Amino acid sequence: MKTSKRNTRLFRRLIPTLRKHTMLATLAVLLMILVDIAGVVKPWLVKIGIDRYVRNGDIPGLTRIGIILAAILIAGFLFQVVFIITVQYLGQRLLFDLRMDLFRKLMRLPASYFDKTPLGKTLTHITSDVEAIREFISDGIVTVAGDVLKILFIASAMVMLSPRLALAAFITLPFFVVATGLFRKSIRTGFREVRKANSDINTVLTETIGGAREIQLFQTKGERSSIFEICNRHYLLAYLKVIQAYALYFPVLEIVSNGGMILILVTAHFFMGTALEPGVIFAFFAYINMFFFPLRQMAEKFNLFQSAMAASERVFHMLDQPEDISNPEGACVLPENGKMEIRFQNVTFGYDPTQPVLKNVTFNINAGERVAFVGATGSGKTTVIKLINRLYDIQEGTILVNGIDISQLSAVELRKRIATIPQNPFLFTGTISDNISLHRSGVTDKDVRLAAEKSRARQFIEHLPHRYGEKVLESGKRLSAGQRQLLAFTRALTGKPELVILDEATANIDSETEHLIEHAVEEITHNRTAIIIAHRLSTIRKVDRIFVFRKGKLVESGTHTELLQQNGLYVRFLPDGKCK
Amino acid sequence: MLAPYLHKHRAALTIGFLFIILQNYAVSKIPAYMRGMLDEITGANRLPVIMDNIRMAVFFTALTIVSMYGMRKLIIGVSRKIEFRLRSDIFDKFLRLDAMFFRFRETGDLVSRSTNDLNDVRTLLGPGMMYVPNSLTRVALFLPIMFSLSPRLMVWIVVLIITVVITILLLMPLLRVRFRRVQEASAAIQARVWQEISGIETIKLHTLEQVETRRFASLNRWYIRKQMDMVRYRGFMWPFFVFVFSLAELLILVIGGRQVISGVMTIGQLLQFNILVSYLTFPILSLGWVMSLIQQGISAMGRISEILDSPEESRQEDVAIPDGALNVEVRNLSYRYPQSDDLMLKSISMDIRKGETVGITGPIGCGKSTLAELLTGILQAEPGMIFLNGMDISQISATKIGSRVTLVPQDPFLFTRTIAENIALGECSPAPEQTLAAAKKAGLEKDLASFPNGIDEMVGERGITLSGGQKQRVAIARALYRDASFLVLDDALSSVDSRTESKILQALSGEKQNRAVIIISHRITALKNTSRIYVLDEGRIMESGTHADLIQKDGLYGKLARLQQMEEEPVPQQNGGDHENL
Repeated sequence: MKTSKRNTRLFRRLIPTLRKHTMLATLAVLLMILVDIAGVVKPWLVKIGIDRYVRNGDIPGLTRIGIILAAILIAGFLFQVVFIITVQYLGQRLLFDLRMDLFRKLMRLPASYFDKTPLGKTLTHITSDVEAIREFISDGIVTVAGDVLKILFIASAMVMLSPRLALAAFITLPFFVVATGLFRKSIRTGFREVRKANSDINTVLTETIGGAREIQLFQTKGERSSIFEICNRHYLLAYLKVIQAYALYFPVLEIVSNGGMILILVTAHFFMGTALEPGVIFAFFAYINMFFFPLRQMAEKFNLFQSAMAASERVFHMLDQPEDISNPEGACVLPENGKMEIRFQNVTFGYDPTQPVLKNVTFNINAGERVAFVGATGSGKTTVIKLINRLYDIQEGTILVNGIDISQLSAVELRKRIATIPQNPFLFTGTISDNISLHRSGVTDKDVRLAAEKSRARQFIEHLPHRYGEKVLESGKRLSAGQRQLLAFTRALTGKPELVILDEATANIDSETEHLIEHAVEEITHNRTAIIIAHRLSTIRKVDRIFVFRKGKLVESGTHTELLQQNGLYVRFLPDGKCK
Repeated sequence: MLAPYLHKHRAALTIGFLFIILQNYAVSKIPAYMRGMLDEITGANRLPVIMDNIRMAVFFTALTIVSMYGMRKLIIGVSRKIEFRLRSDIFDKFLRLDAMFFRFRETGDLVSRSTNDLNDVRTLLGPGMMYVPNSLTRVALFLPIMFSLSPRLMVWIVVLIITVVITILLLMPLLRVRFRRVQEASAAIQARVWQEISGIETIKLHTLEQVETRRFASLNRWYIRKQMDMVRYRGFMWPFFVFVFSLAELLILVIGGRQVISGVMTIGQLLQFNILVSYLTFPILSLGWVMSLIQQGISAMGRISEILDSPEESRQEDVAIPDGALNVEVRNLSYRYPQSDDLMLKSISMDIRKGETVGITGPIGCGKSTLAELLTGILQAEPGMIFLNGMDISQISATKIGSRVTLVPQDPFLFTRTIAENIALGECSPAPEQTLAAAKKAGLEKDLASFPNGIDEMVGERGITLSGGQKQRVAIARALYRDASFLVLDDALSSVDSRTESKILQALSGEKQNRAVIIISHRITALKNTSRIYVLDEGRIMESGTHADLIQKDGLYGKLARLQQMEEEPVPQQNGGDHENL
């Protein structure tokens, strides 16, 4: 009951997607009918050939029917080819649509979704779950619909040829249905055990390979081995049950088809005798073979249905997630003035609303001002930056950008004006050049080179074997943290940011790169509003004002000299005797 | 390669093959009785004759199903049993291989070899070993009968069979190429989506949503093209085979029909021939499928052999480390990873005396972790470079090293078990007091209190997920539980805030007087109180000395210390945030 309700819900969701391809779907259905008709006509022609021409010794007639049969065979073959291609193409188009829907959704999901959802899950939805739905549409629904139709055609052809013989042929049907039902039930439980054992095997394997070092260090080999032995044996036993089911079921098919043939002949003996047209027997033998095959296939397709059902549930769950609300229609246009002004008024925010990370933070950064954020890990510096980019919406207070409430602005428009350079920039698989242009239209090779010149990334890029064409791996392992930051500077310089936010890199920087970065910071923050999460004294001394954060609060702010005079937390951050 | 496995089951296989022959023999007999009945019905139509035929048909059907059951059960059963044995053998091999084997291989790839590839081998042994002999015996037994019915028709059927087999052989490789391209395209999509998800914040910050959607759409269109390339082939192939074989119906009608008219054949014989051909259809058409199974199985076996034939750990077993406290000596240690040109470590020399705590630091990739793994026997050093109480470590077996020496890595691996079991790794029945004591020393007390089942909480998939800092502390507890004489902490508390780290480290070195400890860390606070600090860069020791000495010197270490000053929390703080990864 419950599953059928789920099925209808799934269908309803898929209809709009299907409707986009009405032509293809109609073509597929038409071809399917033609294929089925060609299949059912063949035995009928054989029957006519035998009864009308062979028995009467009419050789020209036999040749004629032979030509017709040949034509039908060729037509059936062609229909079948076009049908398969059409149906598969339809499935691919549906897959494309679904996948793009999911991808667009992915782009619109709020940052908080990614805090809660493991990456691997989302990946599965977009890659394998949609495949399962496609398989369900093109190999599942269509084939089953075709099979049902075929069974109906065959049954009516049999009844039309000889109702008595048809009845005889159908006697074995209940036996077949019951046997198939039992078989399905037993393989279903069997396969459930197999899957369970299989996932246990995978777990133990993954842990053994992933924990190879720990296993060697702590000598747990014997124990691992015995755990695995147990899982492995479960798997074997589960499969031996499945083998038993198959070994019993295949003979059933033999009984049904041989039994059917015998019953047909016996019926012919009792009710027709010498009046029997032998061609009918030829046709019936062909029909019973055709009849049971689709039935068997349908039983096997059932598993496909179940996994598609589960997959679509997951896909639609993702599609139903609330979207990022930060791009409202008719959002205010941010006045352009070249330099951004930021104002925080009593801002309170927590990733989990019950646990605020920022508490009642108030500050303003004037247009063209350069500000440094100082504070320990977890003090809230990075959170402030996420909020300025409107990756999250705040719970209390107001954030004003150029005097306009941030919640009235479109996040995309806002982010276009801000360049954020993280401490450890994310690099995409592709070339250096791709990683700078980010495939944005309007960013030419020339722009890339120009920006690299300005950011001083040129020096290290030109030392790479393939220069701008050098491949970067996802994690960018071959580039140092400093080089990665220089690339991020270059990215930022291809646009015209009105606010630059920079999280200074701390790790793994050689002095040469450090020198380059210092210049780049100078270049990129020149004549712009800038926020720098600073780790170096040399940086801090160059800014206009310093904000000191502690445990989600802004505790001190002012120029270097002012803060020294205050003799508060800031002073305690400073290395002894370095700057007093 | 598979011969020894097959040999073990030779009795079952022999009987299985006999069943195959018996089954096909029985099947070949049945059509004759159908013919008998049809001829009788259209002739004299006597019931006793019909009954005789039915009895024989039923008898042979019974024989068919019994032998069918037997062949499936035996041959497929054997394939599963061999699969079981092979899987155990692969697993045991994994346990015997040393750390270097796993270093350069992806876990996913190894798992896939021991599951997917093994399954391909299984399919080769099961359906492969069953259907090939089945098809062959069927053809061999049927052809003489067909010949006796009508030599001309039989020749035509042979022509059809040969046509099908040849086209299968020709088309299969072409299909395989296309299939591989589809798999590549599919992997490309997977990789792209993975990137998009992991770089989602970058995409949002650079407002690349539309650009990326366009790029993803074009990748998907490329994928459809590859798919359709394959579909066109596959969509043609199968109907074509069916078509070629269904020409038999036409030939039976036209050629057979003429022979019936000319009196060479009876209509019953034509029916018998027709049934025989229909029995041949599946065994012949499945040949393509079976052939691809065989090919896949063979290449999968190759990938499995790569694992089974990998050289195992070569250390000798006979030297034992003398009991008691350990002195560790490193003499001119150089190390190069296999398949690498550059030396990872260059003439490192150091001494760690019993009871001493020594620090090591240096930038990422300077060789710290390699050194840690060499000292703990995870990687094998050349002879004459590392000595434990004067014994060359290259002469000691991994097991014996493991019983005295412990490494706590930066990314410890926790098993899907309870926390207690993870702490007492390798012990069947750990004493609860001891695991708890170790957990306390590792600063886990508060965390344990927050779990529903405390120390007996399951870790991972079906239990709670631990934060990075919690995992690291479980690993510390694991090491403390072991009570090793020589302990190496490789950035082992990097995810714990520096105050907690210092507390744990102090407890750790004070806990056992004679233990030699190496602390590898980026944090000055962790290194400050060690008796000596070595600074590594590009595989070399650049400077060494006490904290005060090195600050005075103002070299690499001094620079690191200055950098960190800004970050360190000057006043006590409870915990760090998890959101510092913009």
